[in-house]
Amino acid sequence: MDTKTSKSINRPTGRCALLFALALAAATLMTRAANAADTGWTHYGNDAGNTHYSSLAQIKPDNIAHLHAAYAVSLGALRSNQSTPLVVGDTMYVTSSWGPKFVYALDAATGAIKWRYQSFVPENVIQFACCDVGNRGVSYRDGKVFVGQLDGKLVALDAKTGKPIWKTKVVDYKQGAVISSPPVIAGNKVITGFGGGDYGVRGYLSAYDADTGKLLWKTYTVPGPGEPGNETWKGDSWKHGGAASWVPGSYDPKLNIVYFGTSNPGPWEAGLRSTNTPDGKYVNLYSSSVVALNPDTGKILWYIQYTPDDAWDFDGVNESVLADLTIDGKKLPALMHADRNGFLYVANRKTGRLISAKPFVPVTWATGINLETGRPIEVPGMRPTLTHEAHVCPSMMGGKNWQPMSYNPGTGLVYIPALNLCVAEKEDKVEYHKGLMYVGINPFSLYTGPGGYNGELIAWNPITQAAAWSIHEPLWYLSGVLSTGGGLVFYGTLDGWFKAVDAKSGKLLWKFYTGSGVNAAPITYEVGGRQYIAVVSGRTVTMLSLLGKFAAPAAEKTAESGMLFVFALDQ
Amino acid sequence: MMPRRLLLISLIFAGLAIFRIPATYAGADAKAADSHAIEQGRHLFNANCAHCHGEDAGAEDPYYNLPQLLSDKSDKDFTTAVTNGIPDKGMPPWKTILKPGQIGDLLVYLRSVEKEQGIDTGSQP
Repeated sequence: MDTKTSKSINRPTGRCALLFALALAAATLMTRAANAADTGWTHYGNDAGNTHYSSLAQIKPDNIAHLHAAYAVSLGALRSNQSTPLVVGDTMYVTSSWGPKFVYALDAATGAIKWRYQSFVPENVIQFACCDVGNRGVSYRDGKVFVGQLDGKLVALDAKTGKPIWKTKVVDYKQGAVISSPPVIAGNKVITGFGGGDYGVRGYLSAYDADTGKLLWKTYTVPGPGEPGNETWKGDSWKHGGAASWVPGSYDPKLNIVYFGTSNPGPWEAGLRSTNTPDGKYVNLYSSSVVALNPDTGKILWYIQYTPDDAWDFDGVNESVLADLTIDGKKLPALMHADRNGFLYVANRKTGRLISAKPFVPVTWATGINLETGRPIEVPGMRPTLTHEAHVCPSMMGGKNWQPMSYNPGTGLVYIPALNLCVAEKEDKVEYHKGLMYVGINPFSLYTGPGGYNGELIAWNPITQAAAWSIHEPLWYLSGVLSTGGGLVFYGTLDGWFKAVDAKSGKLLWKFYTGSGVNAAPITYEVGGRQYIAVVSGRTVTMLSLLGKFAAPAAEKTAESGMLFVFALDQ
Repeated sequence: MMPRRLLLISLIFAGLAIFRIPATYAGADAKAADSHAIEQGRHLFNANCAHCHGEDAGAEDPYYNLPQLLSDKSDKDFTTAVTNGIPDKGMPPWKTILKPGQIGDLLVYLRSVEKEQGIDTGSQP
């Protein structure tokens, strides 16, 4: 533990049974129109609202001892396997890393391959994918499977045969712009962003006709000259302003609004694009934000900028979880978001009005969020500059990274795969060069946060904004999380374990060793009356290499891999 | 017209000067110069290379572990790889961004890391 940071740690501590009971009483069911039967897993987050929750309850605490591997499938590509499979009917669609190199349709009960699509994405994409060659899976609509590729293309496949129906270039990947996440489907529109905030891209979201691949609209997330928000950029820094959306968005079909998080502004060296001071006027819209858009027109309806003039690579990309909460007796169409900046936000997803924001991990750079303005209350001295090395919690890895949390309407809790990392960092001069990283932080050194643990699964009550329970993990970069109607929470760790814990207490009930770090999000589904749990294993390489000696203990635990594991109760 | 032999010698010395190969230094001056080059190289490394190869060349993975990757490579191999890149491996060309002297500083720094780690470099000019 670094004592320099301990005095200013700020997190609610009310982890008690009372809060849990309050959460139970307050929670209401999530809108699940898109997946009413809830036997499959038809969206990245199971539902368009990204809850990563399933009501399936055949597997539960009192029988999980009988949960065993039903089958395993090699995905044919090593490192950074981050795919969240989909299950539609009796077919599972899952991707490998490296492009994806492969998209598979499998018999969801046996693992038998129905078809395999090979993307032929060139290996040189690795230069342009900052944080490894991961792919997070596909989207599905009406007999078509949609996949975004690291070479900047969006492809529609025939769900029955795997044959390409159309292929559209979204972005020039050689500028450092890659697609690693599945698109959002809103009616007949396929909406995608791309990564590249660390390469100085100018982010945009674009929508394509699901039947033809024709471009329908394109909305820049960094406003150009003459557009509202351009004045929030110093000089012409907007040209390489980042704000790229590389994590899956969410969709509320009732409100007809899509929600995408945006990345850090480019470069990290804030002095090039702002005054790099708390409350400065150059806030760099719409970086490190969530933007709410009309999916029919691409018009930005509202935004919340989580980290104005982001000097820490906090991004705002983490998923927006859409669920209805009851607060003070009133029903709230909520958007929940655990930001890399360490705060968990609850907002009205119809209007963008902030309801609450509290730190869910140790936070030293801000003491709170002004709910009226949305601006963080910054702690002086926490911005790195060319002459000042700042010691900040959380680090650029965030209080939570891209791995999705899960909201369980039964317990009323969100289960957050959190990180407890801090950083010592200083700015360095940087110039833009196409295809090279555009960062400007040197040096940066990560260290373990207060308490001596690096990862934490937190069961968080979004209404009271306090933890119900948490599990400390020695390693960071936990996997995505699944919670179920059976009262279980599943997650994985960087040392290769896939675990199930009791959703109410956090008690460890079951674990399975996958042989490589687990970063992907698990799913569950039912075929033929039998409930299955599935997860992809295969740890990142780049993220461990990036962090050098700090990450060595994690790198030494397992090797890279690419395997799908599927579990079911003994018959 | 310069005699061919003299031209060759001049080119060799010019090359050594540009790439700041440590063999060109001697005694206390050489140590000081090396020390300066190591520090310069470290700064350049962490600014430009650490995103893949880890802070202070600390990436453990064999794909990115430079001290090990370089151990059987000559100085010329290194300079060529940095200058022209290895696109299929994701290594961009740096010839328009880093000056030859800076690439030389990177080399001096990385050779010093090899030495620190007790790796038999087989450093060949």
